[in-house]
Amino acid sequence: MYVTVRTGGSLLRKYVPQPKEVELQTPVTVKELLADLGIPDGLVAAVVINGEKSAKNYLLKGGEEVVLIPPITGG
Amino acid sequence: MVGGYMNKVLRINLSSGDIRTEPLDMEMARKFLGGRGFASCILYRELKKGVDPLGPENKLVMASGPLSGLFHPCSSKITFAAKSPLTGLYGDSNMGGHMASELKYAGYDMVIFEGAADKPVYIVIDDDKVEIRDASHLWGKGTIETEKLLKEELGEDFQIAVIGPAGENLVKVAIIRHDFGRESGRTGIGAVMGSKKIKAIAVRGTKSIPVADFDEYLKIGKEMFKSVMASEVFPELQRYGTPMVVDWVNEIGAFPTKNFSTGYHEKHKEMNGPTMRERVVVHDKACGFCPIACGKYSVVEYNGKKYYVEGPEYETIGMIGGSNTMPSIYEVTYGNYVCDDLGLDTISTGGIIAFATECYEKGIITKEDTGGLELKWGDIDVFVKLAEMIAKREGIGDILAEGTRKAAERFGKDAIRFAMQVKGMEISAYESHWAPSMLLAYATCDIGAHHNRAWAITYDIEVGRDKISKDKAEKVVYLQHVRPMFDALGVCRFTWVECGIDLEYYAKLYSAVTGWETSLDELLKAAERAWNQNRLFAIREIPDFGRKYDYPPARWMEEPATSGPSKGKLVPKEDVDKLLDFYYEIRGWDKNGRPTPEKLKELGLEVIE
Repeated sequence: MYVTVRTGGSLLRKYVPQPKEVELQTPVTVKELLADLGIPDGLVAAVVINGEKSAKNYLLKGGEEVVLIPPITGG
Repeated sequence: MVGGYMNKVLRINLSSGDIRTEPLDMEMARKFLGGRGFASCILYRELKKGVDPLGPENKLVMASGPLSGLFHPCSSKITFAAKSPLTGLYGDSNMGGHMASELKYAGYDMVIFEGAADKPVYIVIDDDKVEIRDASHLWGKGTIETEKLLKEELGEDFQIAVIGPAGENLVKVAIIRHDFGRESGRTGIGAVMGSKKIKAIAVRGTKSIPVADFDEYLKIGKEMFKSVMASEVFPELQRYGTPMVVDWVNEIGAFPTKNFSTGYHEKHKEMNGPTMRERVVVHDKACGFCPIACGKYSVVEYNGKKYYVEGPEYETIGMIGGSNTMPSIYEVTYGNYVCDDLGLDTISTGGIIAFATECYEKGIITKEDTGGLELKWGDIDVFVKLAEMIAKREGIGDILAEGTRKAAERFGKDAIRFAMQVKGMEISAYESHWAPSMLLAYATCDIGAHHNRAWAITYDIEVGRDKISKDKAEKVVYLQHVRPMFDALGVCRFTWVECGIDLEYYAKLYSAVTGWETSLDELLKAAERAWNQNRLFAIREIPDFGRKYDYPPARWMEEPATSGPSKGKLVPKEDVDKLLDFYYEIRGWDKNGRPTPEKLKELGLEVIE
């Protein structure tokens, strides 16, 4: 089973420059997925799964599109 | 033909009434680009050492950039600058909206206001026709009413920048406000405008901005729009604006709470992006040429009356909501409205009132000092009362209107320990007990503690928050060139970190617009030049200026954070010294933080006594 991972902003692009298919052996949380991809947890401000804002403890079962949003500066 | 620039500078002397134009110094344009680069150059060159920031000898510079007002994304930034009454150093603050483009359409790259009027005036710049008009009917009015009245008087197509009562009363954290919600908020720039008795500046223009290679420019501009709008961040940023980070900042323990004693506010979900969107936001609002529309227009009902305000931005939520520990977005929105209408910087005012509250809590000041007011955390009525007293310089407000550093000196005892400022300017909304890079960015910022010169906190997270290393100083120096480069070009930086655009686009854009071949390195070098020049400005003003002015507040070095993820953390002074050693070495400065002759030669800068 696979999930598609996409990132936005210059902070996360270096970890996942292009949309990427990631194979899962078993269901994993978003937090575990971040660890697998080498992305520091604190660099992800929001997670959008299949268009819905979700928590980092969301359990991915395969087939989802995961968008990782970095933090932004205040104005 | 050199494009991008209008090749004309407008000088308005308020003392003599003299209005004249002069050609733009093109050598300055190549070396400093525009915006804050121009301001840095003009103020160092033209101000005499030791001028009173609120006297007629100070100059107020309003400068667009070579990329302002054109139709690539987010091209709407203008810089206001002067010797800062808050820090006594070079000070600037930029705003979005529509002023940068309108000024260029009127035919000017920059306006320099000199002298001081003897009665309130407003300035009308209508293409080539420039007038100084009587503003006695506007003096004393809030920013909202002033802008509304001038729109009625002059027409909707004028772009207008105003000050409120705080600027008139020379409050050192006063702002210049434009378009009912865009602010040059920092360094007390509104007080300089007030000292010149300028209530408002209205601009309308009908000219075109020259572009050297229009086809190439269009091609690049279109690519940039596509890149920004395809960013995964784009919908989130559009929906929630900067408050989208409130939860994240709490999650990492960096939300300034109770005057930066901790980085975690238990009520943060009551004031995060989704809560704000649901409870107070009416619609989105964009600056010129911006597809993002990060601005949010909000309404809040308080004591039976509705108040409309653009915001709150993240920084306002952090400094009013966090540092003053408010219970929800409603109080923050109302506090935002009050500060904006009075013409007060929400960041500094939030910092000042939190400081006063802590001084009261610790018995450094009492009811006798406050005129009977009981200061307590999370009380919006007290916050609003104090904001009004600051803007009108009434009672204790007269002391607080000087900023936290001066107020701490007046209060005595150990009040300075709770004054969360660097170089006299209040720290913005990133609590840095456990963020050495961010702490270094605040400590070394050329205008006083400000996040927008180098937002380095994400680097702490990336490489390890306890680490004290040279690469952290390298990152801070790099960011202190990238972000000011945007300010010099006259564009917004949300396209970059936030929407992930390749920085190389700006070199291509500058080359196509101006016709001058350039590289990203050359643009960053121009930003470095201004940074060093501002250091020279500081050294000229304060002969012993150096390392001792680059320390963060004692709280970050000596008192651990009290709760949340950063509980127990601090950055001891010896670590701060290590970071400063790295920083000075990377900058080519001596161990006391002063640029070496070799560095000045490399940048083509000269010391002016």
